[in-house]
Amino acid sequence: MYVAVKGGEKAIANAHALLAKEGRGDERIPRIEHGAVGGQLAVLVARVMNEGSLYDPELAARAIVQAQGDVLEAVTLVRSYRTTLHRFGYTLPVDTAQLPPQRRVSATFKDLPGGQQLGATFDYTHRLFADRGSEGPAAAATNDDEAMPRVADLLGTEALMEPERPEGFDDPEPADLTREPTIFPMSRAERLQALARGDEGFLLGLAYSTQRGFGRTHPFAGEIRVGEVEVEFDAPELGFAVPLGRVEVTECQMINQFTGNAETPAQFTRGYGLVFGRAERKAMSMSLVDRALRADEFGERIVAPAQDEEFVIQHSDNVQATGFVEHLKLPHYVDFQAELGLVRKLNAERQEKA
Amino acid sequence: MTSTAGNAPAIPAPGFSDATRDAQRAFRAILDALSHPTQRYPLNGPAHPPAALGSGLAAVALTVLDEDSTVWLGGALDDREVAAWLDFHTGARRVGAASADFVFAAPASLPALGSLRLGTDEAPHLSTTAVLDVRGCQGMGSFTAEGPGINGSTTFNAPWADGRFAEQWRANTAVFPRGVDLLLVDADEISALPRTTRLAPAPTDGQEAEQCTSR
Amino acid sequence: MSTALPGYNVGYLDEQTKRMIRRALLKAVAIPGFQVPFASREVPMPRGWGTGGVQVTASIIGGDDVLKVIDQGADDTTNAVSIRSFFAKVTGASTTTCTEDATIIQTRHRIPEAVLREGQIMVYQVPIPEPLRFLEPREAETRRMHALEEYGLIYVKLYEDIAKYGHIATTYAYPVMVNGRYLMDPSPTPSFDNPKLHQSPALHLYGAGREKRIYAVPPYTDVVSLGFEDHPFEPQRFEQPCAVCGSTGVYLDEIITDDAGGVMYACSDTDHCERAAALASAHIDDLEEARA
Repeated sequence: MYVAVKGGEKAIANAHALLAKEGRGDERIPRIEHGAVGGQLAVLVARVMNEGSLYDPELAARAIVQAQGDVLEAVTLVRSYRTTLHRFGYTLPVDTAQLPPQRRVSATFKDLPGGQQLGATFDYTHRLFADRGSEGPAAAATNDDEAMPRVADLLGTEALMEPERPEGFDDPEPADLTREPTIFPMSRAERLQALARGDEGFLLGLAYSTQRGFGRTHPFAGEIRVGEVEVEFDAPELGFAVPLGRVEVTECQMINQFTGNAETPAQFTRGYGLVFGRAERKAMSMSLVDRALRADEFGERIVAPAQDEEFVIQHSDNVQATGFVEHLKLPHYVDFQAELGLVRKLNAERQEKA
Repeated sequence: MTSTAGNAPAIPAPGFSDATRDAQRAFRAILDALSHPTQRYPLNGPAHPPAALGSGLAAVALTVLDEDSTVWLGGALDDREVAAWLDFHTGARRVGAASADFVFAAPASLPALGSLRLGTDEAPHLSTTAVLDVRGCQGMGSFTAEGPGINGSTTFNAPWADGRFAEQWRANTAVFPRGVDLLLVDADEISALPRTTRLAPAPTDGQEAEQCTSR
Repeated sequence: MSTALPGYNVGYLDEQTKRMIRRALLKAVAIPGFQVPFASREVPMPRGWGTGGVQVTASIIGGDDVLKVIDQGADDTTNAVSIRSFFAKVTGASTTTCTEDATIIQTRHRIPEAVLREGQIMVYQVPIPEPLRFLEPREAETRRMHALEEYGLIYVKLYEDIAKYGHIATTYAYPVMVNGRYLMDPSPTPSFDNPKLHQSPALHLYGAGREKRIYAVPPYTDVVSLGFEDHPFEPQRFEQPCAVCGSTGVYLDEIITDDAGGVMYACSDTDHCERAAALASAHIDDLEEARA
């Protein structure tokens, strides 16, 4: 005798217990402290902050531990907490020109005002496993705290670079992707928000595709800089901005060749990336995709996925993507039953005809 | 983003006594009213609302307005106490009637429906919701109503409806999916006319007096 | 009501978010079948697992409500259990499995067999709200098609089915015309359930979290499944009764009973099945009593 499947609640409780046990690992080894994650896995923390759209290294570290290292799970934790927070007001735009870079490199000029500053990077390391306990001379590292002009601004003075603010730009309020419905086509400000929280791997793949001919933009890494910027809160009651603290960001200005058209003379155009923490790969990918998505502005033919706004934006959000892909694990037997009936009917009809 | 209130009292009267619970109840009344056009639903507002606003309108305001919405106040509602109270509790930005998300007005001060934001064919939801103050109206307006939310058809008394309403409403339903939605708010009751409700004047004694105590 | 989750608001969503969703819901009801864009928020379950339905329910539910959650018609599937316990935890609302007792029924892909009554609210979890999406992937384009009421494409698709198979080959998410104006995806409920929407006394709210759309069918609204004069819409039918409760005219799950091709059919709506089975056994008891 068949009895309808029961016991869902108990099964879920068991699954939770098992998850906790798996996550604990060997009990003889101490639990990972959030502080250790924040300090020693800062690049991972930056990724969770970026895709979680929340600058809070401690919370991101907690999410990583609770999610047992599953980045997308940690991002979901952060986002679904962030969205419940009351919004008290808006900060002023950060001024990255005033950012004293801990790292700053340009691929377009050998030397430039302020100089190149290598900073903390894996770029020049040999990817060989290090001996345990020989992480290098941390104490010896230093960096200069000196403001440096942005490379794109240097070119701008010669009118070889598209202006940061096009003619007639009246600086409209940027929409807020997390508070307003998504309507296509988006403004560039909204697109940049979407890219900033987009999946690093997906954006990397798209960026790479533009380099391989799928929407080529002839990019040069104009400047990449990493450092801390001051965040100021606009308090209308006070009449002046209040500093809230400093956040670490990575900024990338991609410079792209543009041969000009009937309206516009030949000049360089920009792709822009700005992300939390040390996240160069993300900032660079973002700036390449940003430029590719500006095809419309420059009258370029849209021929590749990276240039297609709806394709890129709709599919770059990994919380949405993983949810929909993984929901296939949920029962679908009602719809499957419907399809089963149809397939049987079609087969029966075919046999009748034969 | 809230604007500061000029010379208004320092501390406006309180809003809902339990913001979460009361807003939920008021919302369900509004949702019920829009889902069942012409039917009346009880609406409980804050205990001490600004006099011009009254409990019912105050409940609607606290439920639908916030920093992300815009509002226009008509006639007697456009007063200092109401403005300060709304600023404090909702932060809704006040704009002209033609661009507001919500228009709060008595029948006499309600702009012509066609002059309000009607939305577009692609975005018909970007239209005004008119919140009508119908306290103390004694007119004779009566209609037969039908459309979504109404089982067949029903008779609907509209003591607030003035002579120009029937034609304005006909025009409003004719531009569907565009159009204005109407919330009719009494001291402690709400009913509604979404843009889908079709009204035909019911036979009356010929009187079309519009007699509302609120302006 | 109180919350058991420190650091989170009652009902999980903050009041600002609820207001935003509530405003969208009001417009959805006023424009039956039109997909209102809304700024969908993250909720503590993954996108694709009912986040749209969860946001809608969280925005309407109150202390007086009785919530029922079903997945595939059943109250006891893991997703239904998880969502029900989420709301019990964050709102303190009471829950039920009984369709008649519920004031709000959140569902994934079924409409209960019991006839819904006025005052009840159905909340649907919608994966892809756009009925034209698989014919035209671009939002900007489908938005225009709805604005112009340009629905030829969907008829072409259905007609191609007829040309190829002799009948329409869509069995779930079967497109409907709402109030004679908007083409709507009734969410992937089996087409068996489509007729229940037409002039239903209940309010039907649809939430698509990932796709950021909310839409609605008010009570007593025309909902017509697409068809042609010579090939009208035909909901699915089952030949056999439920093996557990004996009900006919209900949606059945096929249950594989062994590895030799043995199958049986039982109600997908577990609440209906339990009640019908109890009634049937009471009836048998009555008969036996009468005989004795």
